[in-house]
Amino acid sequence: MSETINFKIDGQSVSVPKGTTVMQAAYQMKIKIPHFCWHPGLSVAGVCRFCLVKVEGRPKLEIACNLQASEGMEILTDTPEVKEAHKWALEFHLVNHPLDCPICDQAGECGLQNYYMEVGKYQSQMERPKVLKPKALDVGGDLVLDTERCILCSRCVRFEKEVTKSEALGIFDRGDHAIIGTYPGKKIEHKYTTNLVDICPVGAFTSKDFRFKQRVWFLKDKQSVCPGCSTGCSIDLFAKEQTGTYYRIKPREGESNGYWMCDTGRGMYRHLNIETRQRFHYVSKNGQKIDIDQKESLNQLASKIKEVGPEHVSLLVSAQYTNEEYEAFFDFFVGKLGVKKVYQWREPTEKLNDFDGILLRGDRNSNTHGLMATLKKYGVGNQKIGNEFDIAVSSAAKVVIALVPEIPATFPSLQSNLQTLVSLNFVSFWTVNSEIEKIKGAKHVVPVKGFSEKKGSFTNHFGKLGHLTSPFVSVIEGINCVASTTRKLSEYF
Amino acid sequence: MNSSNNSSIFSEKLKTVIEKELTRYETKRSAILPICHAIQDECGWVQEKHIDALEKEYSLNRIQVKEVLTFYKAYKQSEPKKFEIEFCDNIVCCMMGAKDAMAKIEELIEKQGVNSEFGLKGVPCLGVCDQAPAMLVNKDRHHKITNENVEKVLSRYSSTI
Repeated sequence: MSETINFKIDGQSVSVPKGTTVMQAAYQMKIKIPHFCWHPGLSVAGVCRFCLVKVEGRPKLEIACNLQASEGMEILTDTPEVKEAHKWALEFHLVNHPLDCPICDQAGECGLQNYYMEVGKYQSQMERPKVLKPKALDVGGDLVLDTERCILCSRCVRFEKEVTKSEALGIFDRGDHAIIGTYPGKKIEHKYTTNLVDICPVGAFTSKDFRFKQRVWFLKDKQSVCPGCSTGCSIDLFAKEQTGTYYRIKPREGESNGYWMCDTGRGMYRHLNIETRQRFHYVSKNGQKIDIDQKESLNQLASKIKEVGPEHVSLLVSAQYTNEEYEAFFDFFVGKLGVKKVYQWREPTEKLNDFDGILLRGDRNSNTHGLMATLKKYGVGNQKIGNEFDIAVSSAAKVVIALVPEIPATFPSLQSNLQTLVSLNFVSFWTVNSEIEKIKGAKHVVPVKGFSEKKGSFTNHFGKLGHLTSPFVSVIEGINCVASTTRKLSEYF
Repeated sequence: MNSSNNSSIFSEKLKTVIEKELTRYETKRSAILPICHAIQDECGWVQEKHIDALEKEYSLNRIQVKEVLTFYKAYKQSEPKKFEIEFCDNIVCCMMGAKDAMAKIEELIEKQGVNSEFGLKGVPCLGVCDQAPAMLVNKDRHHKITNENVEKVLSRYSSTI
């Protein structure tokens, strides 16, 4: 066992392994020490000089991020001397900052703004003009760079070096003329660019996707799990509740993802917005689409199943629903009704074992392992991961219940697959997205809830559960998740 | 390393220097400073093609090379003119009249129509504050440059054009 160090921060005792810095200990204890350049997922730079703390018995203030805790050390983070130091450090950071908060996307979640309210509140003493630098540069990926707003904390440079290993950013020139940038004429090319927007403590990096769409204080964030691949990154999902519009996804510190997430995962809010959602139950008669209510819809489905008998029913299941939904779905169809034909519905072009070395996996379904576990539990279907769409189509059951993949972006063949299914005898499409409406003649369509609107869990690549604990109210009134839809359907039997 | 590559833009002599510098420090990054000096000494300035070649032949990161080149004013990133005047514009030299002398130099260059032969730029401290204001013309050091004597000092160079 490694040596432990006992010391105190603001009177609270703490034991940490030897080598832990004061900042790391404070972060774990949730004691806030103002900082810009330190980030729990990156190396220590010690350049912002903002995390100054008092060490009892030492004459000068020291930076917490690069100060290793030692036995008996007593740290004070809240003395008048420390506060005064923070105030001065902040004033220096703001010397050349343009203060264009009214048009800056970072406003509302900006380190400079927040710390000004906490430790600043001074009258600026600067009389000299500010240094002007290049603005609104497209540096590749999802990024727009404003070098004037930059406080040169170097988090982005370290991220490029340590996380993506692409080293596409550097600090050029020096002193108050120093600017962050890519090599002249080159752009950042990896798939993790939006992380730079998150870790930038000011508004130097902003996201092309989110820019100027919404002020952050109108948005409500809720904890969720990214459904974009089998890694299952912990995320915060941001939506404006009044309009039910989703705007962005940010990573939340979690076991599966550390502090980051990929740019592909960032887009996983788009299919949730109302324009691309399946809103009504409907059936098609003589090529005409007829909207019906849920009762009528489930009643018709129940009679159809009773008419043909469970032996002529098959289930075509994609791996993008929660464990709880699979449990309820299979419990009813397999457990109660005795349906035997169960097929996996997967993207035919997927490269299951691909991995980009950071987070993104080739398995672009959120819950492959959850589905496999449920199939095993009920002893149905193929016990190996694999697309059985063609088998399902050729076996031509009289009734097919299809759990349509939730996210079209992760399922390139969705349209052509749906086309094939529509031509079959009778398929009931249970779907989150409205892709099916692009094809005429779907016999039976049931709208279900998206991942942001339901409780439940996904089982990720490592077999770990990711919990959807705090759902938003659904943007579409009166729809249910697969589990409650199944329960409602069972009332007709 | 790629020292056997005959198509290198570096001369054999330069290649020997680069390879030696690369093994001299704990990290390759540390060698960027002396390597760029060597390139500048031989080629006059550090060009894009040199940075390309350093990355390709010696796997030195181009971002890091550029960071070093832009940090230090002593590295030239554009083609130097015949006489490059580097005038110290730091505090001591300015107190002793550096700004006036620089204005005078600009005026002289303009008057004599030798723009294409003389370049002038302000640089950080040259380390001779006791002899301020100081300037370098190429590699010659000149001390106590004032409005009055600067013309005489420069005539030494302009007479050779």
